[in-house]
Amino acid sequence: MSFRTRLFLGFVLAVLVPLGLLAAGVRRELDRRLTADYRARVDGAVQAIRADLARESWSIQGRLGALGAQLASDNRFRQAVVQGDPRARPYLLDWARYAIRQAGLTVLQLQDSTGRVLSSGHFRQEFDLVRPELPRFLSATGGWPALARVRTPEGPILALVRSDSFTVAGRRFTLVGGVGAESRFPGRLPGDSAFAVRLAIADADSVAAAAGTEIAAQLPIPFLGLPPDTIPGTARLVVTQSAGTLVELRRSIDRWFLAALLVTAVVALALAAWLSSRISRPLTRLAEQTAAIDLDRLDQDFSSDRGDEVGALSRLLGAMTARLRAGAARLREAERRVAMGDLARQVNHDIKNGLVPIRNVLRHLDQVAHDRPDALAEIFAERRSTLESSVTYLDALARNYARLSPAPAVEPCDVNALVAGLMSAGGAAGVVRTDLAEELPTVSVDRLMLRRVLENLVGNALESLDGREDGSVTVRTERIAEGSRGVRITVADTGRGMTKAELDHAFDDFFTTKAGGTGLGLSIVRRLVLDLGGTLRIDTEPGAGTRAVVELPG
Amino acid sequence: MPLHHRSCAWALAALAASGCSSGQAGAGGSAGELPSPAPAFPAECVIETGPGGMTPVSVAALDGDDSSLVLRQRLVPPVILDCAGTPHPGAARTWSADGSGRFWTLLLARTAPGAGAAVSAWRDPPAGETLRLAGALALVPLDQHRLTVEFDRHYDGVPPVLADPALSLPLDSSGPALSFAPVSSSDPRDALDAGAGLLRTSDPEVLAYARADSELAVAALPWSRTYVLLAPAADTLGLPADSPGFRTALARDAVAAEARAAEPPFWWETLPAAGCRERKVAAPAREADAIAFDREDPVAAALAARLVALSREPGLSARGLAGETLDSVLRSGLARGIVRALPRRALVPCRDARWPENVVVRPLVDTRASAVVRRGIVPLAVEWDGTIRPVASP
Repeated sequence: MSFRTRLFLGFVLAVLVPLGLLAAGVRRELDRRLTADYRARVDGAVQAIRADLARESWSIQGRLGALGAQLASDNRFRQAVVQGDPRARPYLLDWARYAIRQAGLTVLQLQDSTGRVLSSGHFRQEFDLVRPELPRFLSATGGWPALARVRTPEGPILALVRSDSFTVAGRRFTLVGGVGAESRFPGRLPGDSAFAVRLAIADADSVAAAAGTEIAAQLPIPFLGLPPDTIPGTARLVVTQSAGTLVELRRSIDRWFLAALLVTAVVALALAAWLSSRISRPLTRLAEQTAAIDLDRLDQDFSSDRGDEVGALSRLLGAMTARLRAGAARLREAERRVAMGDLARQVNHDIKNGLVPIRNVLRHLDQVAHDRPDALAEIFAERRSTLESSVTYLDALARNYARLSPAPAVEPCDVNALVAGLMSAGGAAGVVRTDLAEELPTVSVDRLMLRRVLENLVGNALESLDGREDGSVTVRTERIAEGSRGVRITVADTGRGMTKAELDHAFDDFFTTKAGGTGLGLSIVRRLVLDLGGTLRIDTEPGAGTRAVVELPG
Repeated sequence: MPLHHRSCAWALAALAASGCSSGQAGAGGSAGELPSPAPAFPAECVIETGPGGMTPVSVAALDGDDSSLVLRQRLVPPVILDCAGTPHPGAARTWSADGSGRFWTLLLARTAPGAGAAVSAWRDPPAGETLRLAGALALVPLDQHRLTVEFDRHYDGVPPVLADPALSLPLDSSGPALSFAPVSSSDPRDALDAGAGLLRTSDPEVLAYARADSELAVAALPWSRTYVLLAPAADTLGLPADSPGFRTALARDAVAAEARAAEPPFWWETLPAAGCRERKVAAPAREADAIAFDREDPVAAALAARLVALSREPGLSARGLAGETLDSVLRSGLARGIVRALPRRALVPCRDARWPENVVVRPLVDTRASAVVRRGIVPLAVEWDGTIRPVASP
């Protein structure tokens, strides 16, 4: 697992785990408080319903009592029910129709002791029918309000009913009265819209389920249905709460926490990615730069303006590279000295080789001059070619060795002017193209050494073309980087290029792939470039050409 | 079959062929002779309010029926039937039939429109439809005041359709008139207190109030309506069996109007076997387990409620509907039965029998309204359907 991945995961865990714990804790606390509040409200709702039922029941009872007292003193009622006067019968039949309005009731029925309906306010035409079930049921409820289904012409209604009795002429009469319950249930509790009261005649669960609610509390209440289902039972006032209210609240909290968690996670992920990238990228770059270092490439730039550990590391690597560069210079100097020793021995050997024939010819001529002075001219003519051959050899040897003797004379140099002058003197303008950058800064180099570098590189490039007319050589100058005073000179050709093996030995002395080559060209170029404080890089590919890149400090 | 106007020559030939000179004659006259004066309304059909003869009489216009009281003073059918059913001249001074009893010739009053105008008016609905359902085949104007109606059946007496209000013609009369007295209150007693001269009502409270006022008199009008229960033959609605006692109890206790047990004969029991009632049949109740009634009719509402109370089916209910929709509820299955008012006497039975063929008509109660009249107004004549007209001064 990479350092970046570990850094990323660590950051994410460090952020998300505490946040998740916080969300869980807050949710749990909210849930506990909501549940407690919910229970308190439910208890309050049940108390309110009980009080409302009791108040309504007492109100009905009071109105029935007043009506009973009124009937007990009503002469026409007495004529109708005691004396059986047919002229008073219409009054009796219509009495409840008027009384129900006066009393503000929804249900009102007057029955005699046999349960025969004498007058009905909610169903005027119910007279003479025998309906003793309801008064019996109400008398058995012990004064507690009860619910009953009551017939009307338009259909049955549900009413909260009470009963009361009175006596006229020794005969007992019963008044049953009530108010409509269907308009109350289902209904909202005053001041608390979260709860509703529903009436469940049979199954409270199904009532709640049908309404999409959940049961919060139940309040049993006696109930009597219509014939033939006149077995007293129990209905339930069900306090319901919208099934989604509490759940929805919890879900809302969960959603918000989840959203916060997601947002935080995304931010944390982005932050972790950014941080890990910010930390690991410079390390990766340092690693790449370090990997590119070798003795011939100690020009990596480890400079950094960062004040952190990466900056310190970069600066340490830069110092180490500088030390390596100094060491490499000393090593090159040592190598140069060793090479100079070898060269001196070689020169000594070569010169000796070149002087031996000359000395021999001179000794021969001296002997002829001493022994046969008259043949001296003839012998000289015979041995002249030997002398000339040796001199030519020594001359060539001297010219070759002259190339190995740098004598730096550093001065500001206009690279573009140097390249232009070289191109005009070289006579290869038709093959060599130039691409010279404008406003190129001057570099401090030995002009002659740089000329020798460019002559060698251009010469090698031209030779790599193998006389092909479609080949080309391009000399390009440019700044190493924007704002930098360093100059990069690139000599690129479209010649045969080099193999990897050839490239590996390209900088070795006396290594050549050309017939008649000395094998000193690139070796000299490398040494010259290094002596100029620059770098040399060769990019090549067989058949595609070679790019020699010289970078000189400003 | 639409009525068509036959040519005069054809009509005259037909009349000659049918022996129009020897037919029956209305109002005491005979065909081809000037009719004799019409008999006066019998005493039982005249409301005498004492000396005075005060006109015009303001009518408390409370509902459609009261409005028709006034409108019908100037719109008169060819024949007027008094409360006993005796015909009297209306828009037609006389009437006569040929020997077949199928061709009836009317001599229109001078104050009535001409025969051509009458024939033209009677071709259009609702008069044209009424005549068609009564069996009329053709209308032929004979001259300016005479016209002949051809029927597809024989009539011994004047065809009742000629007394139908649908055939009323405007009369240019200068006799005593009734006028509107619009009542802003829904309580008819307010109209009486405001001086209305005539009020037709069936409200027992109003009648009791009027009887207590010495300036007012109450006269019972003919039994004009029979309330019936219409229900498919196979559906008893869980009701007790029909009996005189059942009807009597309904009339006595269930209805807040002057009512009696429905008494035969019932005109719907003698409907033609075919070609009269609708061919459609009642559908099983689909949406409502209910007995429907006209929601504007309190008597029908009370009867429907009483039937619901007496039914052995606890789910049955009463449902008030708009009057114009009642005819269709049985066919569409929107109710299991209908309580509705039928005319006590039907001049055109096929028109008034608007229920499906498989429906049973169960008579319940007869009702009638009463006229509250202010003493001293002009005498009033009462017709068969309760229509009241001022009796012309001699």
